[in-house]
Amino acid sequence: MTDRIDDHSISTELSRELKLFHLTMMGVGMMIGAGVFLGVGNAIHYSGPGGVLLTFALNGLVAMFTAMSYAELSSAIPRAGGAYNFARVAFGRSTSFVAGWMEWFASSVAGSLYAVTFGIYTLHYFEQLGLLAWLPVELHTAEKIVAILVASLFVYINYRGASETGKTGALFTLGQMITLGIIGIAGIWIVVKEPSRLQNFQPFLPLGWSKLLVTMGFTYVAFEGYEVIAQAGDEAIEPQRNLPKAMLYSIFFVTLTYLIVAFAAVVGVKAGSPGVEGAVWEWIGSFNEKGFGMAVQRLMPFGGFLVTLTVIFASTSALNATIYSATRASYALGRDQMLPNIFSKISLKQKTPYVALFGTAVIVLVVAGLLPTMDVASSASMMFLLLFFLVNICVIKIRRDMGDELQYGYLMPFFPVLPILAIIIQATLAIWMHSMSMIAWIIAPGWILTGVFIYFLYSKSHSISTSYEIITLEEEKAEETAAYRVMIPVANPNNAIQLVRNGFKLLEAKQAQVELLNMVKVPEQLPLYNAEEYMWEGREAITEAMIYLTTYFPVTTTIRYCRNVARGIISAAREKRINMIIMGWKGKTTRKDYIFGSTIDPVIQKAPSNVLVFKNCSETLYKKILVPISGGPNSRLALEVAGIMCDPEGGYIVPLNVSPPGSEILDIEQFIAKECDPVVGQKVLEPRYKISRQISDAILAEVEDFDLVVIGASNDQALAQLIRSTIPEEVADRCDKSMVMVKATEGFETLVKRII
Amino acid sequence: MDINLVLGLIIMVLAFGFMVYLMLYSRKNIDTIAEKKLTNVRQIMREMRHDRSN
Repeated sequence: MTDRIDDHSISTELSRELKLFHLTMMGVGMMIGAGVFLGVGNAIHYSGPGGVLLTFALNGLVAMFTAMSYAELSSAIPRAGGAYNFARVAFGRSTSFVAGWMEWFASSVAGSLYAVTFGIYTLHYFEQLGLLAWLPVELHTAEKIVAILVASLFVYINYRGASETGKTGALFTLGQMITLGIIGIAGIWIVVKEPSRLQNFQPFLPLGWSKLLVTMGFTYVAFEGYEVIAQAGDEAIEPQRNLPKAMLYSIFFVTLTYLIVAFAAVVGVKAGSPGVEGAVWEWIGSFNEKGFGMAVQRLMPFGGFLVTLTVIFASTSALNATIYSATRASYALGRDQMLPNIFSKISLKQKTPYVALFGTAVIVLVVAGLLPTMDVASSASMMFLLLFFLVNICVIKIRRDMGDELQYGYLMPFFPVLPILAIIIQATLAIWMHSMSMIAWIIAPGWILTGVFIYFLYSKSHSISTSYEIITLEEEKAEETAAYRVMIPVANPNNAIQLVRNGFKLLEAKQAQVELLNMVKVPEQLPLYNAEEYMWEGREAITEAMIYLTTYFPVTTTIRYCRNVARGIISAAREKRINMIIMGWKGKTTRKDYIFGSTIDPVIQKAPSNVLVFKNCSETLYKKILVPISGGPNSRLALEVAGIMCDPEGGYIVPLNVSPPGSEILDIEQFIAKECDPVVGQKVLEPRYKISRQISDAILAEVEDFDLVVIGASNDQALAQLIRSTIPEEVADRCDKSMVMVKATEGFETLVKRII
Repeated sequence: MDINLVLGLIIMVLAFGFMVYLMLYSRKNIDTIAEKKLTNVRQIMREMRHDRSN
C-alpha cells in the first residue's frame, strides 16, 4: 500500500503583523474573560478567603506547566492550528482531526458565552440607570440581540485583518487591566489605611483543604489563553521567540491579576458593616458568582460601575480572541484538507481566512442567539481540558521522536517531569470540574461524534500529507515465515551489497525475515511530490541487495519518504516489530553534534530493537575477535554477535575488561557462563584484564592483534549523545580495524532508569 | 496563629515564586537560543549543559 502525496503549497499566505505585545494581550484577554468575575465569588464561597488566593496561585502554576508545553511546541511548529498541529505531528491524522474539530467548537462556544455575558452586563447596567423602559422586547431577548450584534462586530474586526484584531484586542485588554488595576490598588490602599481588614482572612481555610480541589477544578479552564496564542503561528512576527514568551508572560500577568483582585475583594468588605452578618467571606460567598461585584461595590465609590466596565472590556477582549482562535483552528483543518479546502481561502486584500471566519461566525451566532449559551459553554471547558491533556502528551512524544529535526525556539526545563505532572493534576481537577448540564452532555459528545463521522467520510480520504509525515512510496511484501526480523536500511547501490554481506551470517544464524528499507531523501526546500524523482537510487540499492539475499531469506522491500531518515528508520522498525537493525558506518562524521552521524546516532539511541553498526567490515567471518566488555545487555549482545561472526575453522574470541584503578572488576568467566549461549563460551579463550585510567587507549592498544572488534555501545545513550566522549564511541571513532558496535534493546528497567 | 494561614501563605509564595522562576528561566532560554542561533534539541541541550558547567 502506498500513500498519496499532494502539492501542499498555498498561494496566498496570512500576513505577519502580531508583535509580542499583541500576542500577550490576546492571551491575557482570553484568560481573564469573565473568569475573574464568576470565579472569585464562587471560589470564596467554596473554599474561603485564603482558599481563593491559593486556588489562583496553584492553578497559575499548573497552567504554567501546560503553557510551557504549548510554548515549546509552538516554537518548534509555529503554524496556525495550535493543538491540531501538534497532534498531527505527534499522532497523525485521526487524532489531530478530532483535536482541531474540538478546538474549533470550544473556542467558538466560548466566544458565544462572552458575547452573551457582554449583553447581560451591559443591559443590566442600563436597566439600573432606568434607560431601558422603552424596550419593546423582553430583557432576555434584548440581551440575545446585543450578544449577536457585538459578536457580529468582532467577526467584522477579525475580517479586517490580524493587525486590526490584535490592536483591538490589546486595546480592550488594556482597558480591563486598568480597571482591574484600579480595583487592586484600592484593595491595597484600604489595607494600608485599615490593617484590621486583614482579619477577613481568618479563618484562612474555614472549609478545609479538600475544598481547594473543587475551586481549582472549576476555575482552571479560565487559564486557557495560550491556546489563542498558539493559533497565531502564521501571523506572529518572530514566532519562535514571541509565541513562547507571550504564553509565559500572559500566564504570569493573569495569575498576578487574579491574586490581586481576589485579595481586594476579600478586604473590600468591612466586617460588621451594614448588611454584613457573620464572617466577610460568608457574606461574599453567599452571592456566588456575583460576590466579586458585591465586594467591589463595598470597596470603593462607583464600584458597581467599575465592575460593569471591566466586564464589558473583559468579555469583548475575550470574544475577540476566541473568534480569532476558532477561525485559525478551522483554517488549519481546511489548509490540510481535513475540511474542504475552501476553509483555507484567504482574502487577497485583508489576508484573513474569510471562509473559516464565516464558519466560525455561524457557530458563535447560532449558539449565542438560539441556544442556552451557559449550558452549551460548559461543554467547552471539558474540551479544552482534553486538548491540554493531548498537548502535554504531544510535547513528550515530539521531543523524543523529532528533537533532532525540528528547530526549537524554546525548550521547557524539568522535562518530562512538568508535562507528566500537568497531566496528573489536570486529571485530578477534571473530577472536580463543574458538573455539565444535560444539554452539554448531549452537545459535547454529539460534536465529537460528528467529527469522527466527518473524518471517516471525508477527511481520511481527502487530507494531504504534511512534511512531517512518513510516506510509503513503494512496498513489496514477502510471505512471513520467520519470527526474527532484521531490517537493513540501504542508501545507495555501492554500500548495499557490502552491508548485506556483513550481516549475512547473522541473518543465517537467526533464520531471519529480512526487511530492506530505503528512505528517500528530498531536499528541505522541495515539496513532497518531488519525492518520487529521488527514488531511483534507492530502487537500485534495494535491487542489488535483493539479488544477494532473495535465494536464502524471505525479503520484504520498502521505499519510504521522510524529511528525517533516522526517524523514518525508527518508525519503520517500530511499525514492523523489527528485532535487529543492521547499519553501515564509513568512519568520521563531519557533523560535530553527532558521534556516528545524524542518522546512526538517533537510531542507536531510540530504535526499539537491537542495533548493529558495521565499520570497515569486508568479510562475513573472522578468525580473531576482540570483545571489550563491561557487563550489561550490550556486552551480552556483543559476545553473541562475535560468536556468530567467529570462523568455525579455528576462529576464537578474546573478551577484554579494562577497569580504572580501585573500581570493581567484572568476572568475565562468570558473566559468560551466566549470560551467554554455551556455543559462544566454547569459542572464548582466556579472558584478559587490564587496569588503566585511560580505558579507550588500553582497548586500542589491544586491537592490533585482532581481525575484528565487537564492542557494546555506551549503556547511557542519552548521555553519550550529549557529551560525545564515552569509551565505546571513542574506541569506534579511533579504531582502524574492522569493527561492529552493538546496542541491545532496552528492557523496561533500563528504560525507566534512563528516563529518571 | 492559624496554622492553615501559615501553611497557606508558604504554599502560595512557593507556587508563585516557582512560577516566576520558570518564567524568567524560560525567557533566558528563549533569548539564548535565538542569540546563539541554536536549532535542534541536541544543540540546545549541549549549550545548556555547557552554560551550567561554567
